[in-house]
Amino acid sequence: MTTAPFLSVRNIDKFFGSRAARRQVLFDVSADVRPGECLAVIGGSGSGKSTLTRIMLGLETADAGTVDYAGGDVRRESGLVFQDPFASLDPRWRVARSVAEPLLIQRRDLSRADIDARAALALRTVGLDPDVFASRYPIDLSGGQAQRVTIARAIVNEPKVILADEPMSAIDVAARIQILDAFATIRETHRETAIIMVSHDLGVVRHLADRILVLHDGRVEECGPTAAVLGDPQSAYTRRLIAAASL
Amino acid sequence: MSVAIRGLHVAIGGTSIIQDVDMDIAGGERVGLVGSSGSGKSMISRAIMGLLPAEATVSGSVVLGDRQVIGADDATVADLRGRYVGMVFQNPGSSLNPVMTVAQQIALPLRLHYDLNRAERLDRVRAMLDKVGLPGDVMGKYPHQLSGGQQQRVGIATALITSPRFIIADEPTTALDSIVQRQIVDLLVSLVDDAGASMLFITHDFAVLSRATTRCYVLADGAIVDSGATADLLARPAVPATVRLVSAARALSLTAASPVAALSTASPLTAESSTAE
Amino acid sequence: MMVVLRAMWRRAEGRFALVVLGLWLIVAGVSLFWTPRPLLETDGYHVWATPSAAHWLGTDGTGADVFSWLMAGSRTNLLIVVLTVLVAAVFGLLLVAAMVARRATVAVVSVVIVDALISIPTVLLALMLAVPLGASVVVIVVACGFGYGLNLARVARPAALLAARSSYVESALSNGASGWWIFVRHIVPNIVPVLLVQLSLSAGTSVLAESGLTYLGIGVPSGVPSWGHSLATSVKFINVYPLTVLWPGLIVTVVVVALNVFGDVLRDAIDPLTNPALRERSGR
Repeated sequence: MTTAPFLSVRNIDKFFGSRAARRQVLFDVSADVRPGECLAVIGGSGSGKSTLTRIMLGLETADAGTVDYAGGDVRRESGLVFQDPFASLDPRWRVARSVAEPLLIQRRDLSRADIDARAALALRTVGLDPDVFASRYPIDLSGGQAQRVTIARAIVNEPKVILADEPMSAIDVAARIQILDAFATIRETHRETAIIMVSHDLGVVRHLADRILVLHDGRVEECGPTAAVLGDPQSAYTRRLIAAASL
Repeated sequence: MSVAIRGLHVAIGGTSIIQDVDMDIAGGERVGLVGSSGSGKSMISRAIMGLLPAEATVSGSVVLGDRQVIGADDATVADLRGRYVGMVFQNPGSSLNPVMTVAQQIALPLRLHYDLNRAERLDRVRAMLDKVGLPGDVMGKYPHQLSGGQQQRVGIATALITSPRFIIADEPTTALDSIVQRQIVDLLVSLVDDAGASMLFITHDFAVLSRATTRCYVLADGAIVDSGATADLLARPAVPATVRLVSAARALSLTAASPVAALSTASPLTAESSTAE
Repeated sequence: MMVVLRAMWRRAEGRFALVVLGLWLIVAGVSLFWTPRPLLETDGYHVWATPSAAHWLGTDGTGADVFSWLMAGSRTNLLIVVLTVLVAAVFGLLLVAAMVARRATVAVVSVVIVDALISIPTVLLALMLAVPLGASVVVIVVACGFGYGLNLARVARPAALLAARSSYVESALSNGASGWWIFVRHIVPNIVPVLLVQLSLSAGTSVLAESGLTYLGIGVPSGVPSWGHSLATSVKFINVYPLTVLWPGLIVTVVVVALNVFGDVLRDAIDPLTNPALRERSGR
């Protein structure tokens, strides 16, 4: 944790809506991401957690504040995983092609065989046998399988950072374990890749996250190492989140 | 109201969806039905409501109170549904009519099944809103002006306005964030208990089930594979399907003793090659 | 290809469409080399003749063989249908691309333009085109292709928007995909079902339009065989010699129905989401 952050946002404000009905969704939010770490952004619906992380990855612009990325275009060097896996896979593309798409777009230098091999490796990393799944269409996948395909697509081009926005909330509890497993494996195999995981549930991120940032109504409630946030929560809101995640 | 299901079979286009399901829900009892997606949970709730698709072939018996649902004519089933059964859906955003105000929405079952004047209906709606913890000023609002948790409270109010004797809650909290999820489950349980109604709570999440129900059935591939007191199943799962669901719920909670062990037993890190999950 | 044809053949209406359209292709091909009677042969002693061994479907008012003219007409109509569908598809897809453009001004302006242009009747456009061009196949193809392209764009827009705003497109965009990549690889494949149905309707309607415009004298020029030509020359005598009107009328009706059904059946057969046989094959 001594490495310097490669992605930081400072004093972010964000407004939604027209001039007449402007609503502030982020208030003076700052956050850092370091290479290889997993940062969990936690909060209820409407807390601004998706907006914050989308601003961090350049998918939306802030109304005030700065976004610093040590590198080129952060979007080109990131992978996205969304809440609904079936909405994030083209229904008329086979799995192998969906996984390979970032390479097909960005790595014109690679041969067809090389691209296929990398897509197969990415599928294996998330626990899917390419011989079985590469030729399937999304319609023939379960939710857990489909979500792991989107994770394979997110890592196939060796990104600097993966943004996973509620990757488990649309998935069966039993299949959520497989998603967790897939991310755990990626943390082993891609040690330089940072993961930003957005969730409303502390329980699903506690095995993965190095640090947790708790967001409530657009403000940072607290931010710190996972053990500290869970073991000694500083804010009342975090304590309620912890209570909600207990069985 | 008691519910008794005996030897229920449902098949669609020659594919068997539900096989030989027996279930009992006593009057005033809260029972869970848990299984992963594709296990046939929703098909059972539709069979109870008499809402199976036209091409489905059904056999067996579903008795609500003292009346048989399977094979009954549409009018009988519709009357049964409207007066005695309430349904809470998974996605409040899409189960509420976007062009109806909250008051119109909640009053709709009263208009359909009871002969009340407008003032009486509004009185009941106001009392119901109070019960589900919504302020009176939401009456004139439309669903999109409410948060997800408020929408589900409206869904619950709509389901309970006719004082049904049996509530089916089909994944009522899946679309909500964890804090709201807990509030909604607690609200539903207290309302059902206060009314003395019985409830069938359908979910894929054992963690939710433990708060919502006392007894539960585990469904896998269209068949009941396990049943018993929710607390017992949670503490000592024995059947593989139950073990899978319980260990998943445990691994994702904050109090598991050994999350890593739960993770690895629930799903070893081997490449998946089977068709089914 | 075989998988698609087999899936179409499995349905009764699919067999009907394939047989009718297949016969059409064969007849059009054969008519290039052979017709029962030469087209310009007229038999002055047998005008308005009823069917016989010499004239299978009888003769018309000039004593020409109706069957031969219908055979020859089939290739004119085939040409018109193919060209109209091509023009409508290209024009329609260009409009769809503009209507779902990420530049909001392009999208808004193109929607307004389509809504305005769609109010121009096809017949009016054909009449205006006929002023410089005279009666010509080009008038039919351009007028119909223009009108049907506008319709296609409007009907396909919701499906195209759904794909354009999807998470898979957002993912591809963040990876640096171009607008062209998104349109060709994500949007077009996802509007193919709508496209096929709409284009097959257009194909059927263009057969009807050919008859109508030729009757008005601004379609196929006189002397060139077409089904519309056969109808136009005999329709005035429908009370006296109904049979000569019946034959081209029957052919037009059957072909239009077959074209409409064809699009429906092809859509179901060619889409991997509705035809499991396409998904079972491995490979990309």
